[in-house]
Amino acid sequence: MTFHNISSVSRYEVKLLRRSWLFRIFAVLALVVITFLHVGTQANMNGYQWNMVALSSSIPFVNIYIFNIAQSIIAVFLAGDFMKRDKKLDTAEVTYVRPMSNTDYILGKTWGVVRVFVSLNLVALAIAAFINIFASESAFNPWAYVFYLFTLSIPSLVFVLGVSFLVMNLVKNQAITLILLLGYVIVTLLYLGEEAWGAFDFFAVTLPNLFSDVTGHPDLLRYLTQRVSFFLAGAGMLAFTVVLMKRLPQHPRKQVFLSVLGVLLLAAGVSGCIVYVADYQHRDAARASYVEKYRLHITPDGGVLTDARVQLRQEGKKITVQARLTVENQGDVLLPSLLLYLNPSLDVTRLSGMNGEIPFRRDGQVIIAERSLRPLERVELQVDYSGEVSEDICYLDVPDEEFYNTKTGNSVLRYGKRYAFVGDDFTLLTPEAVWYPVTAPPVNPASLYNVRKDFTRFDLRVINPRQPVVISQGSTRQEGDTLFFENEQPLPSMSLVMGNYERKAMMLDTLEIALYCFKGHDYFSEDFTHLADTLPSVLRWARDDYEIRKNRDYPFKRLLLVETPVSFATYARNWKGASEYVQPEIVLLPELGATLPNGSFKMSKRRVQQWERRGNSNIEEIDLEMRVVRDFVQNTLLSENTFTGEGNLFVPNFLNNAPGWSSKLNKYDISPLFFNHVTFIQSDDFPVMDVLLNVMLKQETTTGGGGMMRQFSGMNDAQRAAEYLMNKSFEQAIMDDTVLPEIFYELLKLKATYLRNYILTYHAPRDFSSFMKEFILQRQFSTVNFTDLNNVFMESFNINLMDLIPAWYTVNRTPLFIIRGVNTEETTIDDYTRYVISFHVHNPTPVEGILSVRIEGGRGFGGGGGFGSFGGFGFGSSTEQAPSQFLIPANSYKKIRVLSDNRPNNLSVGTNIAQNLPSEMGIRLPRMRQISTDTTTGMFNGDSTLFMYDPKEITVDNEDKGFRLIESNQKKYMLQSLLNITTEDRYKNMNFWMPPSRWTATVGNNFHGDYIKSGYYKRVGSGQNMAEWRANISLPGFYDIYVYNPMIEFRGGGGGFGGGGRNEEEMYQYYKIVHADGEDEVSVKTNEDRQTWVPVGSFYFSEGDAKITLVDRGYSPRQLIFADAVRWVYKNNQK
Amino acid sequence: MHVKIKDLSKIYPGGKKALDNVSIEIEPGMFGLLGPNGAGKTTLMRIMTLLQDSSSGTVFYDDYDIARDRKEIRALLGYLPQDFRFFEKLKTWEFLDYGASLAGVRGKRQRGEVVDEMLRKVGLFEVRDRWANRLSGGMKRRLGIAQALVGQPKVIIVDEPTTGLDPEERIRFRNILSEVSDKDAVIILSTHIVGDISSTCKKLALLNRGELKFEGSPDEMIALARGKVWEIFVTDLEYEEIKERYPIISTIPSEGGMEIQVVAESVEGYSCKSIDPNLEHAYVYYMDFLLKDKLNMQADAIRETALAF
Repeated sequence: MTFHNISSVSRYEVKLLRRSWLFRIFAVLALVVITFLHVGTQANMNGYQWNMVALSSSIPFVNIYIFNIAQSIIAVFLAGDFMKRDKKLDTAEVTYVRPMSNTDYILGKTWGVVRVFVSLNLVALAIAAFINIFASESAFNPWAYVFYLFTLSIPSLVFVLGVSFLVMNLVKNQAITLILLLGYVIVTLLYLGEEAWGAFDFFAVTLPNLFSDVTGHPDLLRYLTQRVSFFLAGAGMLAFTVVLMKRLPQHPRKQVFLSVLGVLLLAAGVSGCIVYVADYQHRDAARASYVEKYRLHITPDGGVLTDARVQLRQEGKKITVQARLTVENQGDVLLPSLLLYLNPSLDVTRLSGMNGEIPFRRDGQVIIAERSLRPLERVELQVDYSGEVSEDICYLDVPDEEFYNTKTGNSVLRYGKRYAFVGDDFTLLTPEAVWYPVTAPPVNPASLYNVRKDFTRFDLRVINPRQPVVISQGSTRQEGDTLFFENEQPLPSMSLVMGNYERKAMMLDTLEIALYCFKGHDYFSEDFTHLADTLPSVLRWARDDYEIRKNRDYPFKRLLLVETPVSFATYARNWKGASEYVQPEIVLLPELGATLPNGSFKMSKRRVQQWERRGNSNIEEIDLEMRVVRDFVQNTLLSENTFTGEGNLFVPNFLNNAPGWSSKLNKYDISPLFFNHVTFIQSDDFPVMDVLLNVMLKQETTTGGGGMMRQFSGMNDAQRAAEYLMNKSFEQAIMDDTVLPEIFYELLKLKATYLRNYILTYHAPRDFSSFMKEFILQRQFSTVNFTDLNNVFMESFNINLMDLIPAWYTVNRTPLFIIRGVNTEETTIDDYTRYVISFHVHNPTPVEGILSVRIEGGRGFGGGGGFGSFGGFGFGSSTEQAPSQFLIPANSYKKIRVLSDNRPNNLSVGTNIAQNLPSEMGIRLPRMRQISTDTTTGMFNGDSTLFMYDPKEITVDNEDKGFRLIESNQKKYMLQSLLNITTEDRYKNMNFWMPPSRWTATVGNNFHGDYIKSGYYKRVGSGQNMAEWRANISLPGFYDIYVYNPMIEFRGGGGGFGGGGRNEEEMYQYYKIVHADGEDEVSVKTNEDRQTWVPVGSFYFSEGDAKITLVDRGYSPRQLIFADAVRWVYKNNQK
Repeated sequence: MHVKIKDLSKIYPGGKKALDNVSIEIEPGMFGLLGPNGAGKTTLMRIMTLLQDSSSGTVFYDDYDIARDRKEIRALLGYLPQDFRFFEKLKTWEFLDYGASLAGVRGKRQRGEVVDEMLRKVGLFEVRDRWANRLSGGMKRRLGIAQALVGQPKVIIVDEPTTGLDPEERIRFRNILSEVSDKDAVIILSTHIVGDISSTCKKLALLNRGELKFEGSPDEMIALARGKVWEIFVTDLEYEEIKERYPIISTIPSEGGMEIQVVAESVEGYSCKSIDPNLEHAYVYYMDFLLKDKLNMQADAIRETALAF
């Protein structure tokens, strides 16, 4: 092997490659795509997503991420191409007779390809660096550029070349090789990548790979193991390529050497991957063993940790702790031994009590102290321990799929998942890491809701901290080299953060608000230069508004917002009620706000300004800043759901610029500081009660959401949750780990709201709220027995919750409500005009249910207004009228009358847990009002005849048997449905931007329906697709025909798409009516008389089947076609 | 440099014997390798250039053995294959530079000089920047020989180099080779065009069906055919008759008939005169009369066709 030969071959390989058109086209395309994506998502020209630029490694990562995939595809093509070139008759022979070894030749070729790709990579990186330095908000980190080039790009390239050369040599057919290799690339990208923790992912796109400025790479060793493995495997395959080369070797014995080398390299590569996988399996096994140990040891009874004084010293990755604990047996049975739980890799050196050492044994995370505890006995213990903190103990309840899923939304950026940090640069310990001994474990994997929350008086001492700033709960003081944290009240947990922080603080009355960000990470102050004096009032307003809405006061003396490394991860867990981001007094925020919605204040300001400009108004700088702070607080800290924008890259960014609320739970929601961290409601029979009551109390008594949301909802998680309860009970749902957390949360909300609304059917909301507030306030920072709550509740309200709860817990059916006969009457009370709204409701099921009825005045459902409110909503909707609750018995007909002070427009009926879709019905009230003197309100027996079948008025809805769809290309759709393996919701969200080309079911209040307000829609077609309504006419005669026009207004336009549609554009739907005298086609103008019955004419029908068909041929090419309901109304029988 | 082919055999998978125990000794200078298509010339050359393995026997380049000293032997070789195309997207000088670099010419400047000198020698200097695959057929051949000659190889092997060239290019080509052969190098010229050998080679070998049939100088081969080449004047009618009896080498139409040259032990019944044979005459005589090859080959072809059905 000589360098000269390798260099000669590579030099000419480079020339040939650079001059190849295939390469040039690919290269230009790759550079254009990369530049486009950088400019589109990371440059601060138009708009960018903060998560795409927040970290200094983001831009080089995205660059090499895309390049890596692109180059692999190019390399596959080129490898086939140049191996084919070598096979051309006699062409290579003039080269083959030269005095070089086969190794020289293959290495030369490989080196040539690598050189070309690395050069191209450098060009791409130069583009990235240019954008990074001159046109982005991202800090420039040259090291990241080098790191990704060498660890991400080059190993992939060597591997792809190795595989390509080898396969080409073995298969010897370029076309088949190409298919095989491209198939491999695609399968890896789409399917294999996520398998085995990314062990097959030679692109490393599934491996966390973004750097934190503070703690660096999230998982460097594993990442490098994987990368080196692929590099070695690639090198091994290159060695085999040399062996398989169709040229006599210089030294025949070298073949053996090369074969051995190939085997060794490949084996090293495979071994690396095995080590990589084994490491994860080891972790898995450890986690499984911890789960098992919890299963073995957790008992319903146990000591309660009342006091804990923890003295901690940290050196490097090791902590040495002395914990003095007070444990009390608050139960009424003798505890034969004392169980403590501690991180399993922390080594307990001594466990002692007042009378000296206490013998103990260790079983993983469990410490079993041989000390019995009599009822109500207290014991003081001292536990001395030291070691490194294992992160494997964290989140044992989280399913593997989620635990190992490192995706951040749809983003290509993966930050990794770290759960605890101990190091000289940074330390972060949350209760999940069990870094101090506890008597109630942080999780009970066997029965998630069956976990106790102890309120403990914590006292933390940090001796000689390595980092300049130490943060924990409580007030701080320093004595000598020791920092003391003393708490004013018992807390459910304690956490510790140490790092190089800058502190910005203010007092809000007696509340201390402090923001800790890492030194040099203050990227936001420059955006708020006008706000200094106003900020406290903005925050005070936010706090006061939130406290009013939640009917709670902030219970702590301080609120610390602390930046954490971007790799610090947590989960939204329903049973816990709070994510680890929200600790008592402390909210942990991601580094540089990288994963926060509206993390970039510059962008937020720009958006607000654009919005204002659109409305032709100018906004003062100070107002702008206030608005941005307000939105940030609202979206990040005060909302239940995650605001989209978190981790959405590329495709969502281009397709949907409109931010909005996702169904994902917001992990930064600080409501646990008002609820979950404040009390624990213990119920042995219904352990879910603590979480459920907190969910209930967090729900505001008014239901939010505008008409738009109700109209376009399709199937949301709440409706999926209601669907789940149609045949399963709440009890089953708690056990069912297949229910997604978001859906389970909605389920919790449904059940909680049902419980609340049940109470509110008897009592005024204000009484109930005041009671709960007072009850909790008296028992703050303590455990409350549910029985005690129920007893006090009974005393106050005369309702025994236990009469309701067992059935509420186990019922596995849901009611349905059909509403008819909606009427509005004008009346006068005390000389003031009032309005009585009445309607009849029928519940034909054997289970009772609750209706929440609210009258809305002002704008109607179709009022438009777009989604523009994202920048404009205030801190709540507390001015909305609270709904009235009605308990509708099983199999009943009821009439409900409610009074409205204001002129009513709409009736909103929430069906709580019912089969109704949408679950909140919006009914437009009739404009014509009768005058009445009847001012009675409430629930009365209803008129059942309204719900009887009437042969003189036949309505066929799309949900009825008489309706069917006629589709032109059944085979195509059958194939589509065969290929579509995932189960989908029956009803889809309306898609205005890209409407479906086939009939698609959707639900919304704009549609007609008894209890499922649904319809079908599609984009305008050629008339091949049809919808058909059939009715059985028993009375021959003339009938007036009506069709229901569900068309909705969108973005101020009509029911059009691709540009929003314009009101002035005429839109028609065409119906064929088959009647006794033949067939007629009628047209209905759909952008008039929306959401109502539209008469289309009178026709004579004989007895028997009558048919009306809608064809999908419209009038405007941008029209949507809706198929909903048709009505035959008997007129007379004179022909 | 002496090349010694010793007991060389090559049997392809399927049993086809391409070379059968061939032994030849080759001295410096031009050596012709003659034989009809399928005689084993290309196989012999590919084995000699280490492009394929032999089944048995070996080739020595001085003391270097092809089974053992491949690196050293490759350093001695220059090779121009029979059907030779160029990589696309390489310029004339680059192609030569690549060859020179692989032949061990180090240093950019030195290689530049070597390349330019070689381009001048083969008359391609003017087109040095033209894409190699855009050269004319003759130019391509010259570039081919240039790459075989670059790096001063001790053994140059050229396979069917003049096929398809016009006479002018052919002469030019022969001259280039002759010029090199003066420098103590071995040039092995494999061809079925007898003229290439007669004008340049001091020695030649005749291969047929993988066997060495003749080894010696062109004169020795010509001597074998002396008195066996005849010139006859025939009428059209006689021509048809004589065509059936003797191999006709040339036909020159003239007034009242045609002048033909035939190869035969003797000619009876026609007025004829014996003429001095050239190498082409000798080759035909050798193939048709000494080896009876033509007849055998026809018989083989008929047999193979029958078997195929």
